[in-house]
Amino acid sequence: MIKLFNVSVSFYGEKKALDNVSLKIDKGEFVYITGASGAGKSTMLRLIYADLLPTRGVVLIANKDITNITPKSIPYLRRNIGVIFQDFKLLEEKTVFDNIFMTLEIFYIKPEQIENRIFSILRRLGLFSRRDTIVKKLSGGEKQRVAIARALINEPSIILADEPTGNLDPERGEDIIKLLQDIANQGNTVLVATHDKALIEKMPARTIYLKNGKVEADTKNE
Amino acid sequence: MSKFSYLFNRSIKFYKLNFKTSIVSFLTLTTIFFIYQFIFTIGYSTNSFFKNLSSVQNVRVYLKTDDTEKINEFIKNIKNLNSVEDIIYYTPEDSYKYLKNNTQNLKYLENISKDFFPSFIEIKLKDNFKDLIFINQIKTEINKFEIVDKASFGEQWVLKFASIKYSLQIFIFIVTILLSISIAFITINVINLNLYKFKEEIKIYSLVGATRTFIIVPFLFASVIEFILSFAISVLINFSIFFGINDYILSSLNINFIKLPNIYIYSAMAVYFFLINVIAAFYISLKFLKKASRIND
Ligand SMILES: Nc1ncnc2c1ncn2[C@@H]1O[C@H](COP(=O)(O)OP(=O)(O)OP(=O)(O)O)[C@@H](O)[C@H]1O
Ligand SMILES: [Mg+2]
Repeated sequence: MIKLFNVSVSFYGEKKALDNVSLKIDKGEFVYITGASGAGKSTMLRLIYADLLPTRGVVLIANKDITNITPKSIPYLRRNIGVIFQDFKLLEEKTVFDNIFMTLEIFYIKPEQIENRIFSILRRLGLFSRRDTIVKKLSGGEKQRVAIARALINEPSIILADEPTGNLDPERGEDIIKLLQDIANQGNTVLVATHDKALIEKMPARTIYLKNGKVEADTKNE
Repeated sequence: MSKFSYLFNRSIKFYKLNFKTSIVSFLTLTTIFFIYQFIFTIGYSTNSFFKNLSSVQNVRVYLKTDDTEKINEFIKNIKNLNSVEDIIYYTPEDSYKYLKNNTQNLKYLENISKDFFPSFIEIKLKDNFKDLIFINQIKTEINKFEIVDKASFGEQWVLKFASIKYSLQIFIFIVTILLSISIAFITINVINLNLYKFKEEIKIYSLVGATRTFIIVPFLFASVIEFILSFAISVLINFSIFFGINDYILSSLNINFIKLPNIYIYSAMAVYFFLINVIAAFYISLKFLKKASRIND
């Protein structure tokens, strides 16, 4: 599903954020990307949703080379990728429903037309009763679930999560990982960037260790 | 719901959300358009006023010879110029009659021998060529013929009025350039402000896969709506003011100076400023999007 060949990323001549990274992630896999702060975890995720182009190397998503993707085709790539952030990136003044609706609105659909679809994902994530609440009033865990609902509503085949548990207490964090693992079991590819070793130990899965932009270890190859 | 009506509704929503900025830029644009049209109308009126004064109806050519053959040859050549409507040859006899018909109470004319009157050729010009530039061209053309003694096209004051007319045109041209620049800047600033206000929203739309059309077009629409409204209103104000001036002030003084530009001139004006508005709007939206579509900055 995701393939990186000798990928390097440098920012304006500074030291490389990613240095000659090659890896392969299959459909339906759940993968942790871990490493110290500044190791290149976020950079790797940004490459995949084309927020960043590699300086060198090739990135393949679903067998499509996105190394030279044009600004025009980026939206079509992103419709197949759901992204979740540590800081949620929700619109705080809008309701839960409206935040999730944004993902479908871009298809020029009216909210009434896909109400049921949004309701069913809200039920699945235990947010149904909060649907008309303004995001500002939610707890961190609830906000993260709204962000997940927004990432999932369009049924993308790839889910990227950058420190999804960073702002949550450990228990809420484990719930989120559990949820993401369920999603992977349904055939979606899930990448979680985290530096939380305890979390990985508690809910183990394939883990890619980055150090100074290089792949230091990959539990799949051991 | 169609894509178009969706984007249109979205732009109305933006316009309402940004009502404060919108109303300010709307008033600014209306004022600019109004001032421009005011200056333009005054200029246009002055221009048509001087145009009649400085227009040259015909060129008169005095000849060195009475040789009919040479004269006919000359007439034949001049007739071929595309600025010429008609040519009449006046023999000394005709010349005398012409003068007699055009003057009154000049009895002493009858005592003058007809031989004293010069023979001349009057060249009537086509309407489009009654301007100074063409007249000078025709004059040079005519002077190339040997039999021509003198070609004349009126008095010195024609030249003076013509120069006022041209200065006015240059003035209007400069005003047009300056206003085009300010309209472009206003459009750019307003759209930029609005885009920054919705920066977070735009980032999220971009993250979930919204096309550039989805993101930009509502802002362009809002700008176009604003343009159309302010232009239309400025035209209305301009018309009312000049009709007022004409009806209540000038007509009572029996002056018929104000001449409002016709619908074609207004349309050309609207299209011109519209293009400036749209190009500026496109430029700034695309420039903004290049930066804002980066999710992490
Ligand atoms: N926009 C940028 N401009 C310059 N350097 C950058 C930029 N983004 C990241 N970097 C550098 O690239 C390297 C990798 O950054 P990245 O954000 O991928 O690390 P990370 O593993 O996600 O760290 P963290 O755990 O702190 O989020 C770091 O050295 C960082 O300073
Ligand atoms: Mg990071």
